[in-house]
Amino acid sequence: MGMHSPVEQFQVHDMSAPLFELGGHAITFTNFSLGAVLAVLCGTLLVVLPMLRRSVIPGRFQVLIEMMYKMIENLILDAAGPKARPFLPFIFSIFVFIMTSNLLGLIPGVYTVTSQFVANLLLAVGVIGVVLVTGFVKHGLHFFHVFVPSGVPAFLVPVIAPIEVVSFFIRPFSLSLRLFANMLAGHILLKVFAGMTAAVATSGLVASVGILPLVINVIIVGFEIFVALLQAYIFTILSSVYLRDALEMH
Amino acid sequence: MFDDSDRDRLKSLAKRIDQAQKAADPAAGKEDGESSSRKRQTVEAIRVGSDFIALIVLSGALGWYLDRELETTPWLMLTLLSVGFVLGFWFLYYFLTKKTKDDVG
Repeated sequence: MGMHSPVEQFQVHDMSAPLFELGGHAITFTNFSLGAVLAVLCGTLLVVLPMLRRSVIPGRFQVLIEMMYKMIENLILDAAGPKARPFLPFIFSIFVFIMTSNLLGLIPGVYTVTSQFVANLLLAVGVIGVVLVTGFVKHGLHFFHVFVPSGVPAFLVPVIAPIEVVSFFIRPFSLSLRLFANMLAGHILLKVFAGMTAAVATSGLVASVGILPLVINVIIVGFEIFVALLQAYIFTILSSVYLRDALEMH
Repeated sequence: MFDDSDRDRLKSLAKRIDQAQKAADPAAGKEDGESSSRKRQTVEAIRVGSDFIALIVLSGALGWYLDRELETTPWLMLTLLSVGFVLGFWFLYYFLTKKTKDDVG
C-alpha cells in the first residue's frame, strides 16, 4: 500500500551535500530551507512587483498590497500607539513572511516553514528581542517597572512581580506555540482526510462513498486558507501589543 | 508627476470625504470605538488563553527533559506538569481579574 503517515510531511531531509560546518554540525540545504527561501522570495515579489509602477490609479494587485499595508498600519497604530510607526516595516515583514509561508505550505509538496516550532520560536524571539532592546533604549533601567503594574500595594509586589516576569518570558513560547499548533493540526487533518479518500476509493466499496472524505477535504482546504491568514494576523497583532509595553509601559 | 499641489488636493479631498461620512452617519465614530475595544478584548483573550497553554506545555517539557537527564522518569514530569497546571490557572485568574478592574476604573 502506498499509504503515508500523516506526520511524514513534517520530516526535514537533506537536499544537498553538506555546504559548510558550524559548531560541529554539517549545514545542508533541506526541504525546510527550500520552503523558507520560497516564502521569502514569494513574499518579496508579492509586495514589490505590484508597487513598481506606483500608478495614482492602482491596478488590482496594487490595491491588494496597499490594502494589506493599510491594514497592518492601522493594526499597529491601534494596538501600540503612534510611537510604534518606525516599527511598521519590521512588523509588516513578519506578517508577509508568515502569511506567505502558511499559504505556500498548503500547496502539496511545499514544506510549511511555520509548522516547525523552532522556526516560529526564532521569529518570536526576534520580536521579543526588539521589544527588550527598545524598552531598555527608551526607558533605561526604568524598563524593569514593566514587571510591577501601577497601583499595586507595596506588600503585594513580591507576589505580583514573579507572575509578571514569568508572563513576560513565556511570551515567545506562547506566540510560537499557537502558530505551530495551528499549522501542525491543520496539515495533519488534511493528510488524514486525503489518505482516507484514497483508502475508501480503492477499497472496493461503492465508489461514490469515496467522494465524502474528498468533499470534507475541500472544505478543510478552504478553512486552512482562513487559518493561515488569521494566524499571521494574530502573530502580528500580539507582536504590536507586546511592542506597546516597551513604548508606553502601561 | 506627484508634487506638493497634488498632495494638498488629496489632503483636502480626504478631509471632505471625512466630513461627508460624518454627516451621513453620525453614529459611525462611536461604533468604531466600540469595535476597537471589543477587538482589544479579543486580543487579550487570545493572549491569556495561549499563555495558559504555553505555561503547561513548557513546564511539562522541562520536566520531561530533566527526567531524561537525571533518569527519574516520570516523576519530575508529573510534578512539573501539575505545578504548571496550578500556575496556569492562577495566571488566568490573575490576568482576567486585573483586566476587569482596569475596565471599570
